[in-house]
Amino acid sequence: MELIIDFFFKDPVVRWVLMAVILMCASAAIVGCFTFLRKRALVGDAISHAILPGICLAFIIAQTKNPMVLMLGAFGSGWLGLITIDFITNRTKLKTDAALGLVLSVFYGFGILLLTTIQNSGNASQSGLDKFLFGNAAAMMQSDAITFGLFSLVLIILIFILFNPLKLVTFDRNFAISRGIPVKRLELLLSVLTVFAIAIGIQAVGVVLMAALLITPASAARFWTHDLKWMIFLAAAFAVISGIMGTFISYTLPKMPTGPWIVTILSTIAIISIIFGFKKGILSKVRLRRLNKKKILRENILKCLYHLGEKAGNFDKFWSTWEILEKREMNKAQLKSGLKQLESRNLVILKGNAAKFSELGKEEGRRVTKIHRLWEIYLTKYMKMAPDHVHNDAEAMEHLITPEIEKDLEVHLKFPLIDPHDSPVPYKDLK
Amino acid sequence: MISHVDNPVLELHNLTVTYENKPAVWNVDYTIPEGNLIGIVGPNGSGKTTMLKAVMGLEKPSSGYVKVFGNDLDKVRDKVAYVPQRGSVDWDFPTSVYDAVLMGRYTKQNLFKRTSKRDREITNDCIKKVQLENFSKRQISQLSGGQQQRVFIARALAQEAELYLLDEPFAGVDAATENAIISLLQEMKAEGKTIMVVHHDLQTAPKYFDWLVMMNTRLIASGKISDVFNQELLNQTYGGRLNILTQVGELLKQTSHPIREKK
Amino acid sequence: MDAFWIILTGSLVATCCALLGCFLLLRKMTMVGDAISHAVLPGIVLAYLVTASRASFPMLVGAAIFGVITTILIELLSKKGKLQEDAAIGVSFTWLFSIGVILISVFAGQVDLDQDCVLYGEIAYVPLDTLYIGGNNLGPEPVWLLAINLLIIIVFILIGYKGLVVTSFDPILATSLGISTVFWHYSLMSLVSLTTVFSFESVGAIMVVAFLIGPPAVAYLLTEDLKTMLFLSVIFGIGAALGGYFLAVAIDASIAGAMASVIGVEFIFAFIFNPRNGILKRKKLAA
Ligand SMILES: Nc1ncnc2c1ncn2[C@@H]1O[C@H](COP(=O)(O)OP(=O)(O)OP(=O)(O)O)[C@@H](O)[C@H]1O
Ligand SMILES: [Mg+2]
Repeated sequence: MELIIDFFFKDPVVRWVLMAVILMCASAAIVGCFTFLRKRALVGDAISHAILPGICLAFIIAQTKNPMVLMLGAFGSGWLGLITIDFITNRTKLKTDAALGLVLSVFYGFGILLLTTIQNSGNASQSGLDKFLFGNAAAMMQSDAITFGLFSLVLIILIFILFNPLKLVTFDRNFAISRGIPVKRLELLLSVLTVFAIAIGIQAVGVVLMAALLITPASAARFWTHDLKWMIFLAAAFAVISGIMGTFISYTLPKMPTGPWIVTILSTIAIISIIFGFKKGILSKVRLRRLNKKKILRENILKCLYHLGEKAGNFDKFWSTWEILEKREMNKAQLKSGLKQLESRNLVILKGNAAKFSELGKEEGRRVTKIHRLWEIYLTKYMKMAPDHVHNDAEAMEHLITPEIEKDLEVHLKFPLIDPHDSPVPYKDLK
Repeated sequence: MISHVDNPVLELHNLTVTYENKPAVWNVDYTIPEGNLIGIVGPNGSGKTTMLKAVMGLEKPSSGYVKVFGNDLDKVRDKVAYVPQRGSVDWDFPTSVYDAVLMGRYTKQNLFKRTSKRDREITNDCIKKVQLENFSKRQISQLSGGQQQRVFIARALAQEAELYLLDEPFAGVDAATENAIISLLQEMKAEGKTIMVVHHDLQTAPKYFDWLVMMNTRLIASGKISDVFNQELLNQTYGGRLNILTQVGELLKQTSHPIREKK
Repeated sequence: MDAFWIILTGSLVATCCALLGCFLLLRKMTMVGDAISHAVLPGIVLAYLVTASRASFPMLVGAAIFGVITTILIELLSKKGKLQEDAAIGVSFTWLFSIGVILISVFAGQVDLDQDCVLYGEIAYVPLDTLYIGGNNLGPEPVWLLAINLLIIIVFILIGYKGLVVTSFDPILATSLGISTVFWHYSLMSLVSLTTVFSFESVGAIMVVAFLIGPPAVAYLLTEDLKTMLFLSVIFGIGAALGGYFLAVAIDASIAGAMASVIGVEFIFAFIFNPRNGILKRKKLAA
């Protein structure tokens, strides 16, 4: 606890560093949302590796570690990498993936070559250039922190100003063109911003893991929302949380590299999002399936009661579970649970081991039976299926068809009275 | 109008294939007689390709089944050859026409063996049959679209199958090549092979085919061309998408509702 | 003698990677190769951790399993999780890689590994790692491991050539012929993982990618025949190993970095001189 208080409040340098990390992570995550949605996730990876030789060259030429100079070098070689990727895919038969891999590994290799020459030349001021490999935000100097923080802030503000046109370009390029929006220029700007964000972000997580700072927050956010504004907000929030935690860990345990910790925390958030996120998440599908299953069970019982009533000519009679099971094969425990659900919805009345329709239940039973029979007619008439093939299909569709489609079916089939198995179609007013 | 035959080469039984729970092929049920040239027609997106893929086991049906020569496909794979719709491979792949056609001779059994002399002979024969013998050493990207199509037909021929499924073999092919291919198919028919062809040109359909399958997500008709090639059935096939079916399909996708009740 | 061992090691890495890389390239899966090379890191660290200092052959094979896990993870995220594939690749390998780096930091004292080794390997130390059996000096151990690995790859390609080619060129045909695309996919990925793990000491986890992609890409531009492509990629791989070594010695830099740079130069040449649409060809056409 004391540690946490120390971390946040004691050291003014740490406060600046923390501020910078928050802004750097947020800007990378925000730009990353666009990269992600434009399906260029791995381009980000290639560019971040391509930045390394630029940093080294800038250092060799200028002999300084001034962040502005290094940033310039980083931006230059990142941009060159981007152009090279486009050039290779357009001018050779190599596909995008190979172009990405080639640029990524050759630029990075060249960067390592330069880095090791610098190190081996015994230049005293070189120490620390290799922090660009894994990033070491926690050890940033105050002046650097301010510079990077400001850059990130500019980036974020730019995106907010241009939010609407950028959104249009990302989601509906053709429409944007038709509206006379300068799509080419905006895309160029987006690329510039991406390279920029990467050049800044590697301070925090390093060239090797920079891709994660771009892609992972967006991937995680995608599972919680479909709205771009929310997606950007969530992505930034995830990145900021990870940034703070990663910096904290490497502040308290200086041996720990900042970048890998930030990325590990981010990835954990992403995995959790994938598992628990709604709308697109896996769990939500499982839940939907379970809800569907329950609904099907309830409606099947209602239909079964309706059939029993039809046969007996009496819909207000109590039927024992035993009689229901004889009419329709199902698991006894399931039937019990289904009847409970129906009772709590006021669709059946239970008495011991027997059940009967409530008014509401009778109406539901009639509706399901009617849809089943209508669908059977539809299948034989319009899908040309043999009458002995249609039952299974209708078993499923009776639970799905909405009142609107039910109406369409009635009109389309011209209010038929008899289904292919000679059972009557139970209309409401005919009752 | 759906005619069924005894001892069919191919039987689709209530076949439904879905993408993301939305049916692309819905309850299609037909049988195909042996030794015929069969056309498959239907508008774009009506599930023709999907149906052929399901026959080849490339898409899993969500209900129903396919029988080929009365068997599951796995038992009779070497009797069925499939030519996919164009553009399904990377033409820059470093392979020659000869090597591409030779792949038709690969089977599970000979995959680890050396290419036999017979395989090589058959490959050369098939290349001759589609009149590509002068191109057999060429890399496949250096062929015209029509020639590329013929490479794939040659490859299917090399499989020496009994049942051939061709997905739009005439797309982007000039009239001369189309004629050459159709007479080749007719020769194969004369040898007792069954050939199913996805076709878009209704003008030539009655000339080419003995039997016609008409579909639009669901099956509209399947029968002798003289029985089914009429205005009413064509209208049903091409006359707009069925409103109710489309609605229910969308609903299935949104709700992830099972298309068949699981017991 | 040291130079000989270093060049031999580099050539073995280059040959293994070139042969497998050709198929990765043709399957448009080079970025999956990239992902695997990063993602085996935690496996490697664990292998070193369990065996205290030098990991043994079985341990390294175990580490290679992490590569296969990555491919499964990517597939899971993209198919079941509905994440687009490039994002799935990016998320999974950065995750595993960062765990690997953290493990190295946590067990810094116990593992004979450091971050430099991860980033660009330590091929220069390979000759020090001598293998003794019954008192006989048999040369550096990594050379032996790589030689065994190369042997496995060559046998795999010789026996599985048809299967590899047909599943790479036309998976639809392969499936319809009853040939399992899944089997060949995972066999290839297992070998890529194995190669990454064995190459790790010499060129580092990241630089393997240069060898996996570079020489095959160069060869791909120069020929239109697969067998020639395999052959050329090996030649260019070994060429890069040789050239890289001498370059590194000349300017006193990382050997692996120099090798990757030479690959870049090779690619520029291939681009200029390639027969199909290289600049020379254009000039000729214009003339
Ligand atoms: N892989 C897929 N994922 C999702 N939907 C798909 C997929 N493949 C096809 N579909 C959809 O399934 C339907 C049927 O497609 P299919 O390719 O079978 O049509 P088709 O009759 O072959 O059309 P065409 O004449 O254009 O070739 C279309 O609505 C299509 O959008
Ligand atoms: Mg089609």
